[in-house]
This record gives sequence, C-alpha cells and structure tokens, in this order.
Amino acid sequence: MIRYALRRMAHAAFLLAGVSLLTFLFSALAPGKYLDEMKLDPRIAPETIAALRSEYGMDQPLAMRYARWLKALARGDLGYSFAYGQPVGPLLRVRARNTLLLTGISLLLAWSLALPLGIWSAQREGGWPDYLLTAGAAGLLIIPDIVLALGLLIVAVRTGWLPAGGMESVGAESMGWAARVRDTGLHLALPVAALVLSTIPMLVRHVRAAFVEVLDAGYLRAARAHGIPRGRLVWRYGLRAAANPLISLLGLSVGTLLSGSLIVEVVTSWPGLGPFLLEAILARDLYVVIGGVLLSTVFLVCGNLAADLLLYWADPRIRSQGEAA
Amino acid sequence: MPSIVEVRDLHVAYSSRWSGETRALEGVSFALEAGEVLGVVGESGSGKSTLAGALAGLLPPGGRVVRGSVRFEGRELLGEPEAELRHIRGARLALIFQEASLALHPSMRVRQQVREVRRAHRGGGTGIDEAVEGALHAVFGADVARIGSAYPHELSGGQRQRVMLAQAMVCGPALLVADEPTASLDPVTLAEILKLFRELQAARGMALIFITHNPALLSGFAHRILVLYAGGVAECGPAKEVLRNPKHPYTKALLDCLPAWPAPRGAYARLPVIPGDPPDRNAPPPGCRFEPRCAARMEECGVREPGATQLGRAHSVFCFKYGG
Amino acid sequence: MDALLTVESLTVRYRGRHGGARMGLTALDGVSFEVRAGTTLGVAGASGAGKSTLALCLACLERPTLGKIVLDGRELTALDEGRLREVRPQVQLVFQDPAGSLDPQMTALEIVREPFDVQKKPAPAERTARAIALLERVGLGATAAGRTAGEFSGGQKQRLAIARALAAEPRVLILDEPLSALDASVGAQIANLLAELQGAAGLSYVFITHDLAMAAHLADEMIVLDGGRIVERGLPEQLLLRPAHAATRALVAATPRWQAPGQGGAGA
Repeated sequence: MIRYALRRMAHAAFLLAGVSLLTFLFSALAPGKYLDEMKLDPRIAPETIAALRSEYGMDQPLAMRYARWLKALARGDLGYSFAYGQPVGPLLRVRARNTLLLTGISLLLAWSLALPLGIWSAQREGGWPDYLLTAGAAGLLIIPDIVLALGLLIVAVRTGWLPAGGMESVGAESMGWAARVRDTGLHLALPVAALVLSTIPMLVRHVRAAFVEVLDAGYLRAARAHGIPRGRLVWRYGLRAAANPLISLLGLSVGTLLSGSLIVEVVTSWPGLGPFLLEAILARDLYVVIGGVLLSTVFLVCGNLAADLLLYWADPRIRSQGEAA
Repeated sequence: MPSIVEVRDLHVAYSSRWSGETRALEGVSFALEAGEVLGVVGESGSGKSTLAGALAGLLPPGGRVVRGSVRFEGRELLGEPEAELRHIRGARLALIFQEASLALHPSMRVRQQVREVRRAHRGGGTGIDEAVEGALHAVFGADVARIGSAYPHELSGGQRQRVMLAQAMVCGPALLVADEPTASLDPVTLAEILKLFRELQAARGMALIFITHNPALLSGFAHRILVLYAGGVAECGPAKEVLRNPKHPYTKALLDCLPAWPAPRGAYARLPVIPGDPPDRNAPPPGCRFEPRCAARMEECGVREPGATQLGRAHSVFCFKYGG
Repeated sequence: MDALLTVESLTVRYRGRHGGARMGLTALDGVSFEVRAGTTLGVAGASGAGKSTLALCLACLERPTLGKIVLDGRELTALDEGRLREVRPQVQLVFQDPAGSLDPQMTALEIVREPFDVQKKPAPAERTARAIALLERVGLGATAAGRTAGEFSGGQKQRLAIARALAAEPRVLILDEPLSALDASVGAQIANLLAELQGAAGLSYVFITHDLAMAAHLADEMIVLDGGRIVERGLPEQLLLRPAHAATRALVAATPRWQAPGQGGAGA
C-alpha cells in the first residue's frame, strides 16, 4: 500500500512539474507583457518602465526566470503579483479557501444526489422512470455551464430569494457566528446549484451504467438465490462491486468540478480562484497566473490521489495487481 | 415419506421483444423425497437451468411461469410474494449456479460471503461464527484459516465451487439444487467436488437435485433420473433403470454417444450420434419434440405430443412406443 | 511413416513477479514427441499441466525458451516472423471456446473467407465458392453462410471454427479442448467430423484435452503432461488400462466409469 501511494505521489510530482513548466512557458510566450499597457501610457517615463522591468526580472531569459521561480517555490515563495504589489501566496490562500468550500460542498451534494438517482434508475432499467431520468439528464448535459449559471443568476435577481453574488452580505463581520454561517450558506446556494446542476447529469449516467452492469452480474443473482435481502443486495453487494468505476468517476468529477467552478465563480461573483485568475490573465500578472494554475492542479492531483488510494483500499483485485507489478 | 418437493405440470416461457414467446419448459412433473438425489440430465436448450430458476422463483427477466405447481415442504411456492420466497431461498432451498467464478462477489472475502448468507436468515448474534466455520470446514477440511480470508480471484475453480457449496450449506437447507456445478472443472477437481457433494448429501440427509449434461456423472450417485429434452420430460425413473435400460429413444441415443470407459472402442470407430440439432424453441413443430431426430419414429409422433406412460413403480416415459 | 511434426526438448519459461517476489514459472520442460502424418496424438493432463502452452507453441503463437519444432523438415522455431507467416497456414489452432474465438458480428461466410483474403489465394472470384464448399464439408450447409456467428449454437460454432481452420489448408490441426464446452451428443458429432476429415484429407491432429475417454477414442498415440513434463506416453489402451505414473492414474481414476447400454453391458 505504501509503495503504491509513493508511486502515485511520484506521478503527481511529475505532473505538477510539467504543469508548472507549461504554464510558465505559455504565459511568458503569450503576446503582451504586464508592462505593455504601462508603456502606452504617456505619463510614465520609459526609465521608470525599464527600472520596473529589471526589478521584476523581466529582462532575463526565460529559462533563468523559471529556475528562479522554482528556487523560490522551494522556499514556499510563489512570487510577486505585479498588479497588487504583494506576494502571491497570501493572495491566493483566501481565494483558494473559498474555491475549496464551493467545490467541496458541490462535490458532496452532487454525489449525494447522483448515487441514489443512478441506483434508482438502474433498478428500473427500461421502464419509463428510467427513461425520463435519462432524458432529463441528457437535457441538462446539453446546456452549457455558463448558461446554467446565468439562468440561475437571473432567477435569483428577479425573485430576490437568493443573494445575487458575493460571499457575504454587507456588515457580515458584525453578525454572530450562526448568522454568519446562514449568510454564507445563502450566498453559496446559487453557485453550488449551478455547479451541481452542471455535473449531476454525467454522474447519474455513469452511476446508472455501473449499477446496471452490477445488478445483472452473476454474483448478485447468486446472492439473491441465497436470500440476501433487497436493501443489502444493493448497498452492500452492489455498491462494493460498483466501487471500482465509481471511485474513478469520483476522481474525474473533482476535475470537472474544479474547471466548472472557474466559470461559475465568475458569473456569480463568488470570490474564489476563478475571478482572481481571470483578472490576472487579463493583466498579464505572470506569477499570479502560474501560482493559481498550479494550485488548482494541486487540488486536482490531490483529489485523484485520494481516489486512487480509495480504489486501492476498496478493490482487492487492484491490490493483487499492484503487488505483482 | 413426505415429498420435499413436488412439481406438477410446470410450464415456463420467456418473452422478449425480438424473439416473441419462447416455451422453455412444458408439462414438467416430478416429486422428490427427503434425502433423495434426483439427477436432471439435459443438454443445452433443454430447459434445465430454467427448471432450477423456476424452483427458486428466480427466473431471468422476461421469464414467467405460465401454469403449474411447485410445492416445497408442503407449501405452494408459485404465487408467493418475493418477501416470503426470500426467507426460503438460501435457508430451506439452496441454489448453486454454474460458473462459480461469476457467482462470488469479487471484493468480499470468502468468510464474509458465507457469513452474509447465514446472517440474512438467522440474524447476527451467537452461533453465527460456529455455523460459518462449520460450513467452511465441511468443504475445505484443514486449510480453512487461509482460505477464509482470501478473495475469490485468489482461489482456483474448484475452491470457488467449494465456497459456493459452503454458502449453500451454512443454513442447513432441506433441498439443494445444483445447476451444472462441475461444468468448468477438470476431471480431477470434478471428481473431488462430486465426492464432496455425495458426502455432504449423505451426512446431512439433504435432498439434492443435481443438474448436468453428462449422465455418466450420475451413475452410482443419483437415486432417480429425470431426462429433459427441448423443454419437456423424456423419461423419469430410478437411476439404475434409466442408465442401464433406457426406454425413451433420446435417452438411449444420448447414453450411446458417450465414449465408453475404460474400454475404448478403438481409434476411428464412429461414435453413435443423434443426427440434427435440437428444435427451435420459438417455433416448435407439432408432435413429439424429438421426432425429427428419432430413429424409432412412427407416424403418430409427428402429429401430436405423447403423454406420460407409467412403466413400473415411479418410472414414466413420454413416448408413443409405450403408449403415450 | 516419417514424422510430420517433431518436437524436441521444448521448454517454455516465464519470468514474472508474484506477490512482490521474483519468480520463474516453467510451463513446459523438455517436451519431445513426434506426430506422424495422418495420425492423432492425444495430449492429456490436469489443469496447469502445460497443455495450453503447448498448443500456443505448436501454433507458433508463443516462442519457446528452448527446444525446437520441426514441421515437415522445416524448423519453425528458427524462422523469423516473415518466413513464419508463410508457414503458419500449415498449422492451425482450434480453440476450446468457440464463442470467444469467433467474431459474433461476422457472417459464417466472412469468417471462412478471411484466411483466403489474408493469404491472397485463391483468386478472389473463387473464394466465396470455396468458402461455401468448406461450410458444407463441416456440415453447416450453404444456408448458414449468411448467418452471423452469434446466431449459432455451440456445436455449430465449433464446426465453423473447424471450417475456418481448414480454409488455410493445414497439415496439422492443434485442437485445444475442442469438445469441452459442448454437450455430450454434440461433442460426439464433432468428434466424428474430425475423424472423417482426418480420413479424407490425411490431416494430423494434436488433440489436447483432459477428457481421457474422448482422447482415448480418437488418438493413435497418447502422452500425459504433468507439471510441464511428459510423464507417460504410449498407446491409449495401455495408458488407460495400465497407467504407470501417478498423474495418469489420477486422471484415470477421476474419469467416471461408463459403459453405454447399447454396448450390451450394464450401465454402471
């Protein structure tokens, strides 16, 4: 198990290194530099710009800048934001926390709904409830995330039931603890709804497919023949058997949720990594962009690593293979 | 002695969208007493697996019992709600399927799987561990500790079959229905499993319905034999009679097909075969099912189906040669 | 009669890891035998004795670690892939599981034609006619040509597999448990078909099985494998009535005794 975990972590490290390199490359190669806009401003003297350039190290070759950045990363220093004039690390921290909150809750909610729905549908395979659910899921799947988010936003604005953006109401700091939680919760409702609605169709389809296969399997029929009660058949036998594809799906869904969260956060003004990253890209704020992308990748990789370990624990066949390989 | 199971005029059919209605079993009747072993001989398409499923109320989707009666321990099973049947299955009436490798849960340890069966019927609490260990011991003998903690994919075919047997036995059923339990095993393992079946059956005085396509396995083992052909009974009687002195032309032809042992007839000798193929179950021709391939067919055989003729005690045959 | 197929000291070793430890597995160990033209060699053995590995080696689907296989004077094991491709048609393999070795979506005709298309002979115009002739030869008939493989019964599938093997015009057929997945009466039909084909076309068979009764019925000579080695060889009657090695005895003891009622004897 340890060896397996170490191997997966080594993969993860490789992945992160690759991502950081690519991001660095793309950002540096992308047209426009941070100071280009300043150059256009006639009020700023060229000497100032040159001084800023050397201060920010932008006059050095790419490879050197990457090496410097790596060294700094080893110290835990993510670089400096040109736009904010502050270290990137603390700036990202708050945003990352908010994104994690949003994605985490969406993940939980999406799976809590998808699992029972998928199982329910699989049990009635071929019947009209199954058909309706599949059609509904397909319909939702077609709608792009951004349209969903905007749609929900419009509903929120028109009806005024939910706050239309942001994370906290004005004057939140002065609220009591319980009231603050409720306040945050209300603000979460919109982005969570958008994210959940965008991922649920895929989840339900895969859960359904996994269960249709499992429910049809020889061992389930044999268990029925042994008189195992219905509920146990599904939750104990079925779920354990379907764990393999479902855990892989879990890992995948972390990825889709993270990427979906970017758009949703921007549309619903949720102060997470999304809007921050967007802003930084537009401003060519190099180190923020790299830091943000790297952070998202870390979340993704951690999610997948957790899924891998979970799979190793859940499926004894992978354990035997893992040992033999 | 009271019959453990009594099947009367059982008709089972499958309906599906593309092939319409297929008659899988027609007019099957037999009775089995406590402690008796009934060997059911049937080839592919004979309906033997359907019979196993019908007895336990576990027909595949699309299958239904058209008419007939299945009485188990004096109680009519057909028409009973699923909740009731669930209590009987595994506890009083155990079922073993073909392909043990597919019938065991891939992510559960062996001991756990046997435990689940016992738990489902007798609940948790005291006695469950003993029952589980007892069942595992009965099929594995000494190696129980190691095998109990193993997963199915770590076991051989014969060992998996033993686990299935342990699961079937753990609640002490009155009847065990085994559908081709030795089908995918090599001869040495097959012989061991067969021996295990005989020992357990004798030790527990269980009634056993042993379904197979190879009649040779039943000699010296079954008390009675039921021969199925294309969904109907060809012959049913005491094992010795059916094997030594088969009455129905199909039974005779089938028994002739098997190469003799241990006296081979010599290379290049042709085995007697049953010409042709089994009938199409979707559009069965009129008359006796075996008629197109029967060496002894008469005019009547192509017109209507023969009924049962009683030949001696508990021996019936469905053939016009004997009346019909 | 000269030997058509000669196998000398065939050894197959696998290296692998199991449970964290490096292990070597010897599937075949110094196996040597001969098959004369037009005869059947029966190969018996329990599971894991090496029968399937032998089948794969003979069909040149697996390279042995040591030893050689000589077919009609040509050493197959010494040929490179290019030369081997020319020789492959002469040794054909019929598998145990007909369902697994036939594409259920292909029609019978397509399946039997395939070897013709691969070898690019006979001329395209003749191929369909030849394929149909083969189908009739194995008892499937021209009407079966248009049906897809998935529609056939087990016995019919096996006939189809044999027809496909014959399309390559082989000298030797390696039959790996061809009857094990079939019912008794169907197996008897296929066994008769094989005997008939051998008589008519002078084919040689290597008949691998754990069904001793059937092997004894069809084979001219038999060998028994155990743990990758040949532990006994001889005429079927000798082996089966007076088995010498423990493995043979175990197999003989495990085969249920049977005397067909039509043979004027008691059942069992």
